[in-house]
Amino acid sequence: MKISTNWLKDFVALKPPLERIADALTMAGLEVKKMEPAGQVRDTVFEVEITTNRPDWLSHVGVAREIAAVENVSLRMPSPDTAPIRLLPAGWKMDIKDLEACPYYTGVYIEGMTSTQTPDFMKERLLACDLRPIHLIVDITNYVLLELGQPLHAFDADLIRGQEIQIRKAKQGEPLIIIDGSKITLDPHDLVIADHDRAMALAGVMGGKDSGINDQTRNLFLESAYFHPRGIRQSSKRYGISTDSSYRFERRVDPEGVDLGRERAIELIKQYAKPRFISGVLRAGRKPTTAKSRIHLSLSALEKTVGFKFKTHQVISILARLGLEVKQDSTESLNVSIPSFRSDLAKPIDLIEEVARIYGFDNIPEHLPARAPHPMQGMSRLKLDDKTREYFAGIGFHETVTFSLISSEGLDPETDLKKAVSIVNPLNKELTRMRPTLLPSLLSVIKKNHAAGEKRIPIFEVASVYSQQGNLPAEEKVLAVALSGYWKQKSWLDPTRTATFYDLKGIVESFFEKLGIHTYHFLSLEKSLLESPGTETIRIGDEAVGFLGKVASVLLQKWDLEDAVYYAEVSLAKLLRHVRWDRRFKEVPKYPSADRDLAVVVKDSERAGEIAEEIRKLGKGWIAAVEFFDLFQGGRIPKGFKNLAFRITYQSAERTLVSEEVQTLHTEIAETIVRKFQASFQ
Amino acid sequence: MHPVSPLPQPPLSELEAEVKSRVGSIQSLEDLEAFRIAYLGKKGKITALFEYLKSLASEERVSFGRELNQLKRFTEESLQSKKQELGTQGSKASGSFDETLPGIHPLVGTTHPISQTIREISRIFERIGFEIAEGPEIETEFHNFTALNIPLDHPSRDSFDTFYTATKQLLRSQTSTVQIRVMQNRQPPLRIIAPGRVYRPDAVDASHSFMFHQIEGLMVDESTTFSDLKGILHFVLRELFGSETKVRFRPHFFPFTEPSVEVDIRWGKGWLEILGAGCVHPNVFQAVGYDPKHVQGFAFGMGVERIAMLRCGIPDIRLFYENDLRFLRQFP
Repeated sequence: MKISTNWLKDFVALKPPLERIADALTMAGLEVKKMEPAGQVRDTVFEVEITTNRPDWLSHVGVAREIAAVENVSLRMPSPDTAPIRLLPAGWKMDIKDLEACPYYTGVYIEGMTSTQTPDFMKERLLACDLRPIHLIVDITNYVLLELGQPLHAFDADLIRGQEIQIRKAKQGEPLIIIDGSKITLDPHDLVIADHDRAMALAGVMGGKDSGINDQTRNLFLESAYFHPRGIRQSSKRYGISTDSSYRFERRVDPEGVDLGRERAIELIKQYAKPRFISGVLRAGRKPTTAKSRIHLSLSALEKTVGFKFKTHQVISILARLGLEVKQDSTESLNVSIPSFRSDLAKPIDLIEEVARIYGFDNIPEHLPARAPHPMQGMSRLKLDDKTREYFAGIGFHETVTFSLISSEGLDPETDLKKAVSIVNPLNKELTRMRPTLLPSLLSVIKKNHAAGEKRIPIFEVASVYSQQGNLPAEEKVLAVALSGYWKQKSWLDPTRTATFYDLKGIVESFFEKLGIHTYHFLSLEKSLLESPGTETIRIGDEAVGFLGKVASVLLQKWDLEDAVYYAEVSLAKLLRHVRWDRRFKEVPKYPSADRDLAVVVKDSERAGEIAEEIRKLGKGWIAAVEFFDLFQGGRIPKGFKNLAFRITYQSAERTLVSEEVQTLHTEIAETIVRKFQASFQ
Repeated sequence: MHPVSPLPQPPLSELEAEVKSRVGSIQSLEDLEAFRIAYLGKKGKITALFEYLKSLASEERVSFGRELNQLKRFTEESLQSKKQELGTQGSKASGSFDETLPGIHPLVGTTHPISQTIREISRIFERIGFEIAEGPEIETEFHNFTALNIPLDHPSRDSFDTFYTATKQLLRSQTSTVQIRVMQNRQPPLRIIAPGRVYRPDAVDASHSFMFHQIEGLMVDESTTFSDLKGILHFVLRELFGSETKVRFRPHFFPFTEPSVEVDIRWGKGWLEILGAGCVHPNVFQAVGYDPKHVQGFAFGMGVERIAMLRCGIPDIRLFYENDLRFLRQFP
């Protein structure tokens, strides 16, 4: 909102420089965002940001009142006679059909305007506040709104049918052409101002075109009312129309402002429009609050909340400067009566804030509290997140942060898409689902980086995936890893190669080892959007904790990717149950070991892992390690066969093995393997 | 000579290590030739071991022989590849050590600047006894609004536009939801911070995104005051932005706190808003079943991206979510 400082000077003295006042207001919570010169007269405009709890600041008088409190100077309110003695207009009827939506409505009939010239000072001030002068009467209603915060509306009295004003709910489908010329079809929840025949205005929001002030208007009907905030807000939201008027009504206007605002406008109309006749006030309903509310403020509660002991006279002075009436009940308690314009003050805490705010938050001393330490909950979950990031960054991967909202692109319609949580009011059609997997997000990152010329793209992300489980959404934190392009950077000393499935598998394996998980195993898996064979589920015991595989070419095509992408997704939530943080020392082998190689030719269908497992089993406890070190096909190896080479490390924890016994065992193992797997030696 | 030990003597592993280290230090063709003579020449160390092999008993001879042959093969291969390498280096081959050649870098990855910032802020709070809490991102109306004293149909709701799901849940618009969950499940004293993703249907531009990260915090017990709020937040901001950081506490309005404050830090010639905070509103305590007469404390919230942008001079929030490796590598 824009505030003219020239206008403020009508109500309060502004001790220069204005920068100081702007700063003082900001530090009282009425933030002055900008200060700039305005108009041909020498005016400075404050652009202020007003929080929703302070509708009383939405006017020049409101801001002046705050300046009076902060600067401790006096406030001069506009004071038209609010109980004038004038004749009631003959023949006019007024009726409120919904006293909840409109508790209080007043109107004045004005006849025979003889001038419509808006005075220069008013034009200047309206322009300074970004309002264009339109017509004297409209300008006066706007002027009063900006001055006192009370919205008013003026009808052309000759366009009101039947000299009748009804404040009622709209009829289903009732039409209304509003001032900007657009037609709206009203809803039965809308409150309207109607004449005998039809709705003339959407109450508190906007007037109608065919009852409004125009160049021919000579007689008018001036409305000043109090509308319930909720109804105004709903109508304003329903049609997407926010006006200076609806903005104030939905935040609640000062009920006392209804009479003040109307009479202030009449004062101006009398002076500048020079009408022949101004009627007495037609009233319907009652002002919502007449008795002032009271709050007891305990001084010890003030001290306990803020952590600072204010002097009692300071507290009283601050509250009084804010326009509140303060009486001291006892040495401990103040009895504060709340004026109608401060509807935000309802509880003692509201007054505590007022005292602290005006005293100045920056003037309240800081304190560092001493508190007993307490145990932390859920630390191992966070530790797992940290270890995961640490591990992957440590092996050269880059952590990404991608949006949880995605499109349905790249989700399998049969599985992922069906269980995805969908958003009913998406920002755009690309962001309609909470992702059930991170795969599409990481593919997009790969695509972008590939386009930027990256030859090696190792990335990972720790984030949640979401799925709909009946009516309830479920969230699970996962680790997603993707690898594409070179395995490592080419250098002048070393060549490189492209990454493979086995690189990713090794990464996953060593990640598990780092977490103290040794009982994992892999089973081949068919999964849509991943290549099969070439995809494995990762299991710990009987529980599937994740999967890894090569991204299917249909998906790569969708993302316009040529290079293979390997992808793994592991549930950190599930992994957490298997992680072991404690580390136990195991005796470092004391006795020497001996390596023997075993190379066998087997059918393609045989599994290296099973052979290695078998070797281990046959080792009588003397095998420390079985390392798979070569796979060879083609050449002298017949078609349909492969050569597998294992390096077996023999070692005993009890003694040094003699060469003969190693050799005997090795031969035994070799023979068993040959028999069991129908293998042969090359 | 008959070996006493069943294992070969001398240990080949030592010799292998020696060969490896010597290969690494070869800088010229001259070095290379010296290396060849030392190991594979007529009087070379490996050549000599083949003589020794002959002296072994037959079983020993098989195993020792195999290992010795492997070592010989390895040495020959090293010689060959080194020769090629020196060959391709042209003039450098005959010249001396070139100290301007780049080192070979190991694989170095990065954590995301957002996680780095969250981690750093979390560490500061952990040092002063705060726990880190987490909660769901898909939330209920109650946790995101009602319990936080944000009534439906109230203008204070306007600054909290929200995404809704088909089953009438919503994507949390602030991580204060975690405070509510923690307070519902535990009794004071509480000192927690809750980092995480939040969602608001804002149009995306250089400083707005529909998804971003927040850290919300809460300290509640019988006696935590506004003065404590100032002390703790000032401490944290100094830790984060440097000990000279100037801070101001500016009154503001949030439905869930009172008094409410926005905290600005001095930035160049002006002030920059860095976090929002306040004493927990009695209505919030009531909503979680605490008695506002007996508990008090403060809550605060800050935008992670905003802090990272300020500290690192990142001009556009969208850079965080693009994950361009050229961007990510700038934050090792």
